Amino acid sequence: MASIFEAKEVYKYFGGIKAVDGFSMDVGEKQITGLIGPNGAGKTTFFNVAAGIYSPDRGEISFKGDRIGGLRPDQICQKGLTRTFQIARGLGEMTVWENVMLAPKRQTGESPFGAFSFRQVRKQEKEHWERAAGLLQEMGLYGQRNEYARNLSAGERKMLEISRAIMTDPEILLLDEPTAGATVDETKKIMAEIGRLRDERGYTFLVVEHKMEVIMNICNPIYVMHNGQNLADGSPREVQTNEQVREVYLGG
Amino acid sequence: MEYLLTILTIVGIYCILGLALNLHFGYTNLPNFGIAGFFAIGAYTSAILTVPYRFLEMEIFAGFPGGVPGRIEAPFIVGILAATVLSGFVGFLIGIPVLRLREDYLAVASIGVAEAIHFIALNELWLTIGSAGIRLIPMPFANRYLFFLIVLLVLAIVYWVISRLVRSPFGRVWRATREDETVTASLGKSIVRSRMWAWVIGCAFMGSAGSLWAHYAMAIQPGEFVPTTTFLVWIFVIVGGLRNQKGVLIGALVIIGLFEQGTRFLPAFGAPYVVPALRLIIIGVLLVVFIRFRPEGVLPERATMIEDHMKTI
Repeated sequence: MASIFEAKEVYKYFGGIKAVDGFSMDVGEKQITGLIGPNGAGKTTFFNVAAGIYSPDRGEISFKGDRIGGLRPDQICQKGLTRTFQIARGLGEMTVWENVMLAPKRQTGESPFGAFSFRQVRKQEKEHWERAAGLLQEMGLYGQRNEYARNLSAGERKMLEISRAIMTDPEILLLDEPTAGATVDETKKIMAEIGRLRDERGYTFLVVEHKMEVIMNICNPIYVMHNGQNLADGSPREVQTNEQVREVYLGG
Repeated sequence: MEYLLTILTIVGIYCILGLALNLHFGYTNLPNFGIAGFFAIGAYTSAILTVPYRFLEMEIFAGFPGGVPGRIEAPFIVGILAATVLSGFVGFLIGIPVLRLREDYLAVASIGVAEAIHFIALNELWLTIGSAGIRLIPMPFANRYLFFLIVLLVLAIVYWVISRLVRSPFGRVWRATREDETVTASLGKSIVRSRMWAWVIGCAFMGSAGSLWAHYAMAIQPGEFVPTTTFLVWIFVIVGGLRNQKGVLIGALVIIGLFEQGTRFLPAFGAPYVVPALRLIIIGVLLVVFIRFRPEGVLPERATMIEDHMKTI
């Protein structure tokens, strides 16, 4: 399977703290790769480096063959890599529909001159809304499309975050604990959506998760991170039966 | 009637300043404390370009060695267009170093700009005649009623352009940036680019307002373009309703109407010298009351429903 996203010996330090300490991984195209590890292992920091919020101190991150270490977050997103946040950062002062309509890339209306090309803008807004409405319906958020995002429940905000990420039509989606705070139903929905997007649209996923049923059911391969370094990787079964992993993470 | 016209003309010009500040701070979270500076750039540009030679003759006769104002004698339309463009351009120059940084730096930098402009106006005599100011600025058509219509026209254009931009996808990016830069960047939007445009457009409109002011007052001096102007605009934008253009217009009408002339209608209570101080007190109290009890202003920002949006986009 062709590798679409690669991290080679990435290091990220904050003063004396080695958040990411020589971590490497490979994400294959159209795979749903999992990343697990105890709290504080460095997973979110690694995501932040991958998404451009930090530059790697050492090591390389490449996406589709191009090095992306050091690029700005918006540049990286334009290339096709979108990430979600661990604590859903919905734009609370905007409505649900505005949140999802914000996401598509390269909208004509997003330059001051383009904003006055009425016909173009209207056409694009219609197209985007058709897609967005369908997505909101699947995620069960359509009924709240005109609500302020801050009025949604925690689980709903997670769904909104994911919907927004999907609307950027990425090639690879980095999901940081997509089911944290979600109800059992919502978790099922999210898992189904991830699978569907991979099968129907060919998205690639890298998912950080703590819920075992999510990881073991949809992710393959799985990387285990501990203290900023690689601990193990492999298929769900391999990881589950790995001695070190059990000791450190799965609690024996 | 003439009197009402005067108040309305001034209110109209301030409305433009208010809409521009609302664009900067209300929609994009860019605190601009240098409004008076961009206002001055517009006023002086328009004045320098349009004032007739007659004025320069007078100055030379009075001992002034001669300078740029009066040598160009361009029509009003050139004056206001140049004022708009130049003000926007100066905004752009300032934006380049400052917009990457936090908003607080912009607040300070904008104050610096206003002071720098004031200083130039006062000292570059060959360009601005200095503290004596420029006089005999021609009012187009020499008709106050027609001029008021011109002000209304410019106000309508500014209102419409900003309204259109805010409702467009670009406006969405502004509002998202205002709320959470990290998320907006993570969705692929360039924060600096979107802010720069809001900043430049707002500064340009402040220049337009300055030009209108110069042609209305027909005489300008550096001493007019002071921080008081800047803070008055801030006050009525906050009181009227940050992020709501109609609210800004109402705020301008109330505050500027009151500040400029309204207190003439108050009885003196036996102490006529109290009245001018009273108007400042009233405005100060209004500001405090609004910030404490109704920070969203008289007319708050309202959400749009997707159905309405699709009809009006």
